[in-house]
Amino acid sequence: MRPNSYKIIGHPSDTGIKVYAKTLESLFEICAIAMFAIICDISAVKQDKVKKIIIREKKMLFPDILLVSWLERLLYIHETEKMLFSGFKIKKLQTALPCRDLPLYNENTPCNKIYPGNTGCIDSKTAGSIIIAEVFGQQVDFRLHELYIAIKATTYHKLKVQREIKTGYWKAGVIFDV
Amino acid sequence: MAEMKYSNIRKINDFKWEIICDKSAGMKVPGIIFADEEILENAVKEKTIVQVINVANLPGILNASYAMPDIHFGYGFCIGGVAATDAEDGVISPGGVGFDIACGVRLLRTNIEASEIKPVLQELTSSLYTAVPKGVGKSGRIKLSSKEIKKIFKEGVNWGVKNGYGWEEDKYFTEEEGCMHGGNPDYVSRLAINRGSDQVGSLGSGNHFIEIQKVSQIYNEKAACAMGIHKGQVLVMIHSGSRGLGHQVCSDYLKIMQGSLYMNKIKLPDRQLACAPLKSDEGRRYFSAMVCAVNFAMVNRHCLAHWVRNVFESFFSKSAEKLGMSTLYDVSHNIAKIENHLISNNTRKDVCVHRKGATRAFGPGAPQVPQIYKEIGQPVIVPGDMGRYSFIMTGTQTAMHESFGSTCHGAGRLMSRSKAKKVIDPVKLKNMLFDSKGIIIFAQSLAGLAEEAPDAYKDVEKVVEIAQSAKISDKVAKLEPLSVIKG
Repeated sequence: MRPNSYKIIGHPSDTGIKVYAKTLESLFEICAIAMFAIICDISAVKQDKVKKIIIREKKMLFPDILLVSWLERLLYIHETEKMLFSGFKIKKLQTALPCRDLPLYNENTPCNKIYPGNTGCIDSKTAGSIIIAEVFGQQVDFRLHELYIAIKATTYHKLKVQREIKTGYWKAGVIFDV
Repeated sequence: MAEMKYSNIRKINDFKWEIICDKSAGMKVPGIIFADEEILENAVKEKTIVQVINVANLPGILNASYAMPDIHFGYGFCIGGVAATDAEDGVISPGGVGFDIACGVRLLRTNIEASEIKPVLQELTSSLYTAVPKGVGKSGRIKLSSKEIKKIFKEGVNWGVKNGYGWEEDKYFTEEEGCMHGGNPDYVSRLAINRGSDQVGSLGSGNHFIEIQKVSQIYNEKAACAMGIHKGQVLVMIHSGSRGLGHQVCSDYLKIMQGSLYMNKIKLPDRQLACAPLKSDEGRRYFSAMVCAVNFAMVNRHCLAHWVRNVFESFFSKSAEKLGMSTLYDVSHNIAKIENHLISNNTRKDVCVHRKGATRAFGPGAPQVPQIYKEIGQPVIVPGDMGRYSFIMTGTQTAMHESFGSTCHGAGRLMSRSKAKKVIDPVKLKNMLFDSKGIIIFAQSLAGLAEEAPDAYKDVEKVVEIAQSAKISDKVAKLEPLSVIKG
């Protein structure tokens, strides 16, 4: 895969995405693009409305769990406010980076550092994880938009966020329940 | 079977296989798969049996990790998975219920014959299509405050009856008499309630549908008679669940339980199996929130049935009562319930039965079965695909001691959704089903229609035959679609 790209993958009963990005922020942004590409033709989604999203988690979460929170929040807004999005800008991302690739993540998994996101500093207001983002899109217009499928949720099954040692680029794999 | 990768699979009989308990794989009990050789080979090829093995890792799991004949690859649990955990010291897993909590099927009778309905079928289906809220991103016809939603959580189908939707007697033919107890609205998040506020009485999308069907074959006259069905009769099948509300409940608690796994000293091979002891705070809260979502799902199908009856009433200028549109049965296939079962050492125990894409199939005499079905066993509704057929079965005594009173729930996917979209032309499919079988299809999304094509599913008849041969349910009738509404 080329950096900053995504692939939609078939899963026997559901559907998923693979994303490759240069930074963790881009990874989160492209995951969101890929998710909305499953829902609709994102090229038909105008970016007339901007919405600020703030996700604050009390605990310092690893990036994969935080990615689920991010995608779930977007799904929630999509469903309750009938919005479609095609542009995403992560302004701040604060997450934990594990010491090593552990099979089981939890609050007590040792982490060696906090990833301070593109602001380069740790938010002193909270000990937990943060996402601050702006998302761009429009209200669903059923005359213009065909919604292909409803994504019920983001699963933890085969969920992966990893950093390549050689390039420092990021990879993600997410399966959605549809 | 020579190429089978797992040498630790033992044949019990032609339709039942055991994955021998391998402690090194973390298994606490063996796996039991109800399948023929072909389905088993497929499960091995697709690595679905790994999911059966993973479920056997759950703390407090009893007897075995089961897979029904419609086994196929899911996430965490396989689809068609059944696991019972000790209610005292076992766990509950939101992934073992799934995101669409209490997704299920309601079947309505009519006293209309297929021959009478055929000339007006196009118009009738079109009216139904207009009346029933469906499709991705669409709201229902009812918008409720959070206070009303919380009443649904506590009252279930009784809420519907009180508010003028459906009939009082519907609840007696709904699992749990239309109201599962033990729900606590305080444990359902604001996000979940918001997602559900405009979704009561809406079909949704994906594999959810309303079908007008005819009874094409009767296999068991006594059971058919008890169910009030005969060959040629028109029935209406409704398949839907707890919509966004249920999805949010599952997501909320999966996240909470990801965090509590370490605290509870639970190690799992798949994070989607995240669980907590039933008696822990997280476990109790999830169970209460899940019960609320179950009641919401039952009310959703109850209201959908109400719209269906309304359309039939205005179309035929007769009351739904005169059209004989009573509920045959309503049963969920994504649920966790506390039930009392016989376990391996010949003692009875309260257990938490997780059914993920599996249907409760209680046998004759079970107290939970409505009086009119006591002699034949609980009706089991097994939807197939839109081009072939569905089945009505009954629960059996064998199911009670072989599968914690469970059987299959449908056909099971054969093709991924993305592959189906690539290889199936939805317009051709729609025309082909009309030209060859006269089946009328109304669909909100053409892409969604391709994903739900008959070729994307296994033949449900084969699944049902295996369930019958394994004696975990008995065939009563075959139903063929006359017209289909897809979300």
